Amino acid sequence: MELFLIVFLPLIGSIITGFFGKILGLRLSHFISCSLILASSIFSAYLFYMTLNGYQTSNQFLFDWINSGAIDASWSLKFDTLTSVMLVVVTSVSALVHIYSIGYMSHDPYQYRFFSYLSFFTFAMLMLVTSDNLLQLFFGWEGVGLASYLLIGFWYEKPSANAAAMKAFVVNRVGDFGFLLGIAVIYIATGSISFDVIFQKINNVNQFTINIACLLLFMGAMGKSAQLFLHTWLPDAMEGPTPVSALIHAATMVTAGIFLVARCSPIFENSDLALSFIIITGASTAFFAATVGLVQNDIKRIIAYSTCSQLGYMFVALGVGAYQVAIFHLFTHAFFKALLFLGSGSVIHAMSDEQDIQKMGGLYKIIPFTWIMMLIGTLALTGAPLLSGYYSKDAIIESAFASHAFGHEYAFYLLVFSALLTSFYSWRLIFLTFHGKTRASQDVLSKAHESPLSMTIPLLLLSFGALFSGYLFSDFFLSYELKELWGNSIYIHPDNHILEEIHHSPFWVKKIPLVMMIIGFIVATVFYLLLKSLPSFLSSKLPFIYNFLYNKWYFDELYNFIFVNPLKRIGNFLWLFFDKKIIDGFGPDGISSLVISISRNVSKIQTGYVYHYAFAMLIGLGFLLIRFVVY
Amino acid sequence: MIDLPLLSILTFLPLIGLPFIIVGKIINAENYQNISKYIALFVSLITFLISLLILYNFNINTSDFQYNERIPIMNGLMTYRMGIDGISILFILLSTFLTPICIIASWNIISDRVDYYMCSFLVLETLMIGTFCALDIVLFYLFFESVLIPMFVIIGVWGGERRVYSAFKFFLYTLLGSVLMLVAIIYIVLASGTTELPIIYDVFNINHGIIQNLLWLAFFASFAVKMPMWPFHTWLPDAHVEAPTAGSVILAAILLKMGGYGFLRFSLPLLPDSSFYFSDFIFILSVIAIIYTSIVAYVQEDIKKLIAYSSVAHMGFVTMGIFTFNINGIQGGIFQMFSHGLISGALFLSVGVIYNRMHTRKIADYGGVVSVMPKFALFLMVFTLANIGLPGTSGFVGEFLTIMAIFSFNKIFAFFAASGVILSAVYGLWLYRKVIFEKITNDAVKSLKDLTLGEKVTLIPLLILIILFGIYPAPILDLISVSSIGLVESINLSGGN
Repeated sequence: MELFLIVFLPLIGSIITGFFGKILGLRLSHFISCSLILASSIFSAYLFYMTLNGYQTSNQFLFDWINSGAIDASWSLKFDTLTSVMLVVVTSVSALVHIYSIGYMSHDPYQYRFFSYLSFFTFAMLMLVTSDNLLQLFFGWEGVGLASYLLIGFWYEKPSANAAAMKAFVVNRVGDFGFLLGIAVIYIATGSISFDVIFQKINNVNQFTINIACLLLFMGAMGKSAQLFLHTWLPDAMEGPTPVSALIHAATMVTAGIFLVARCSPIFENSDLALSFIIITGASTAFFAATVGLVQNDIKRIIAYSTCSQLGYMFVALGVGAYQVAIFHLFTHAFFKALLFLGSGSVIHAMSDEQDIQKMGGLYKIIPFTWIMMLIGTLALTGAPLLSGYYSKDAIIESAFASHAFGHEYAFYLLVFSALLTSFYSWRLIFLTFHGKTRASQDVLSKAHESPLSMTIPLLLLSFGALFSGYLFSDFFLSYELKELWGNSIYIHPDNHILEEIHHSPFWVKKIPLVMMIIGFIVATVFYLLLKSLPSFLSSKLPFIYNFLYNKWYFDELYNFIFVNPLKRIGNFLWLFFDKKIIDGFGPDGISSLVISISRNVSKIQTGYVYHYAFAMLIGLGFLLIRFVVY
Repeated sequence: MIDLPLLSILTFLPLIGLPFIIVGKIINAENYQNISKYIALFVSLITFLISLLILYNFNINTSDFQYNERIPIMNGLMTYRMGIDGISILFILLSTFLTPICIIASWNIISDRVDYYMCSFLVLETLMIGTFCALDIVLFYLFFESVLIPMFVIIGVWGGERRVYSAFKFFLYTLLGSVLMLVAIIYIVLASGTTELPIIYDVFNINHGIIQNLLWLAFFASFAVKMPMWPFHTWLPDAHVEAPTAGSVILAAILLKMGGYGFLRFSLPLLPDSSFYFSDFIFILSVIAIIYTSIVAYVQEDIKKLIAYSSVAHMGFVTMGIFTFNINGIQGGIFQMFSHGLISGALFLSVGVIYNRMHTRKIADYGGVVSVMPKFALFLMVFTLANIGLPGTSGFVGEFLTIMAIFSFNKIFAFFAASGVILSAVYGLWLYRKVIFEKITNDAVKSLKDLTLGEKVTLIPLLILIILFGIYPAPILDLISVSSIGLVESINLSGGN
């Protein structure tokens, strides 16, 4: 089978709509880009079906890329079990988002550009997941970052969208900085950047190097998957059109970090330090984002924080060595979170672009289909029995309990508590949006309408995923017996029996997520349906906590204070003082004036305060040189 | 095929255009300026074709010099010796490729003394090619320093308002460097009894000590100014700002590379011990260059200055790569120079595109350009991303290889160098956002017209090469591979500390 088509069909779609869209017309462009992605997703589904039946890896070499000395990076595609799972997620959600966008973006004059970017994103994401070496993975990594940047800033006239786009790119670059150094560490240690060679040789590498490599790679993952300290870009990324949020900032791109760690499991399995670090970071993020999500009012931001929190869950699973569990949650999360985002898009569409849930309410009568879809998404997210989240999220909590790694207890309790918070903020969203008396203006309500078919059909299909993907595939992901199907794509250390141990967790551990979900539901019901004055009463009584959460723990303010604001000042100082005054002053400008002033009066040189300072620096540079010359 | 002195033909072919332009001026007083453009374009295209012919017959499997030509002149005082290896041919191709593009880019822009302008460019091309072909140390010196003359003229005659100040600054810097280099060259010639570089490579051998260090510093003074390395960089932003577009392109794309070429051709093979000894010094300056100039770039208000500072930062990767003495680093450094030639050339051409319409380089005067010039916005996006070093563009390959090499050499320096990855994104996207995105605030922007055919002709080849060599850099890496390995091995033979 020509598997490379899966990857390159979206690229073709991107090029056609981007460059020839205007010639082809709107309908034809839509048709081409959607059908190419659909074809890609059908191939992926077929590959996944084959994988379920025991089909193993195949590599397809395309051509050389960077070949220098011992560095030997090629463009080649790797199709193993892990990849095939990712392919299904990426292509199916992408296809649905493409179709959804036909309706959602129907009034936008720049649709060609939009579809071109979406398809390009899909291509880059597929390059990322099919990569057989670290460098090509990095290509996809940066490619999805670029697509994300372009799509967040899609409405380029909005300053806030531009700021958010740039923030996303730069914060991701901070992670990429770690990633790049991680690649360097691994290359120096193993002499290769190709996964197959690295995984073979990693056992001969000393522990310290492995720890450093893992921490650096994880730094990249933290950026892309919006983990604590590098998370600030994700909520702002909601400036982009909603289909983008669903595809990139919920289902696919943000899970690239999870994929990276899972793909590099043979390295990470050798570093207990890094794994514990991952557990703690993941659990902290899950908790942090859930607390912030409690008080936000922008419907998309709540879901964004929820995504951030769920990514934390996945990282905990990775950290305890339950890679399949993490991928399982990635898989189910993609469906229900895309459903929630596209559902919220449908709400926003109906409400004339209103995103504040405080200005909604009672919408279930007006947009009942969207309401049902959002309910399914919420139930799946909060872990209602038999829905997809129930299987994957509970498995994560159980694996955190069953683990022996350092930090697993911290993670377990935080995740359990976060499950309560998740349930609370999810139901808060539902109640404020769809129930109670409406707070929207008559003007908006009179125009409110259910979305067109192109938007509702993708919602319906995603809801099937949210409903059944857990039940259908839990054996494939969780069963100890079926782990052969994963082949070499995930490496499990011989001492790591977590997949088996999950099944032996005590009764209370198995049931506690459900209890938490019910408590969260009840509290939300009390707060937002029964005693509606309670939330404002609490926020006025506890302003410190409320403001702390509402302002997202003040991370943005802190970063602005430490990094963003000083950069301009430092830049101006270096430029105006150092370049102009010192270098030019003593260099070309200084030489002529110096000659004159020396001849006039030597002592006058020292009158200038600035020159005094600069002179000392120059002497220092001279000493440095002298030290090098005379050794 | 008869043994034609192809390198000499290539080097001096551009000069053939001069008499034609002069004759044209004499016989046709009415239209000679227009004709001079066609003559210059035609000659530079033929030169480009000949350079391709040289490439076609070039043997990439040897690090020996090829296309050798040797004529003793001046009673044997020096030799007219030409020859190329995998490193120099790359820069020759870059020069011959960019010159026609510069001529096209100047087509409707330069209206004053067009004939002189075209003559300057043809002379400049000859001198650039000569610098990279010369294998006699004195001949090299002549070419290397004479390049400045047409560049001075281009900046001084067709430049902006403060052109005298810039030219003066440029002159002071380079004067210091070239005097010191001349002293070092005289010493080397006297010590080895010949001016021919390949022979000097064999016979010149001094122990590591103060003499070698001083010689090294003398070369360093010249090359560091050309690169330019921090803190010898302040002439560059001024020179760029005042230079006409095509002058900026050549300055950034070719002239800066002569510094790196000098390090590779002289410092490393002739003075290996000192090169090794000073490598930490180079690394410190380069890391400062990467971080310092990136931050300074971020606060610039002038588009050209921002790009000029970013050039300094990118050259920091080159110097670091070269002084790792490692195949990845040297190949990466050379590739980075080549790629930066394409990218900075493209960026300065792009600035020229909007400057010609708006006659301002201030970032604040722009904003929202994408609404009126979407095609231009696309081009500039690709060039900006390449400058940021996005994988899939040529900018990434060199940066990646050098970071890998630096890491194996010194992890602390690698850490700081890699931070350039973040900073370049900050100033690059900042510039793009302020110029291209957001709402139109300046009414003059509203009436801008998108790219003309001529502008497309200059930008499309660069766009194609930047992406092509980003995805498939093998042709370039293969071209320089054997010569780079040869260079690395020759350094190891003389044994570092």
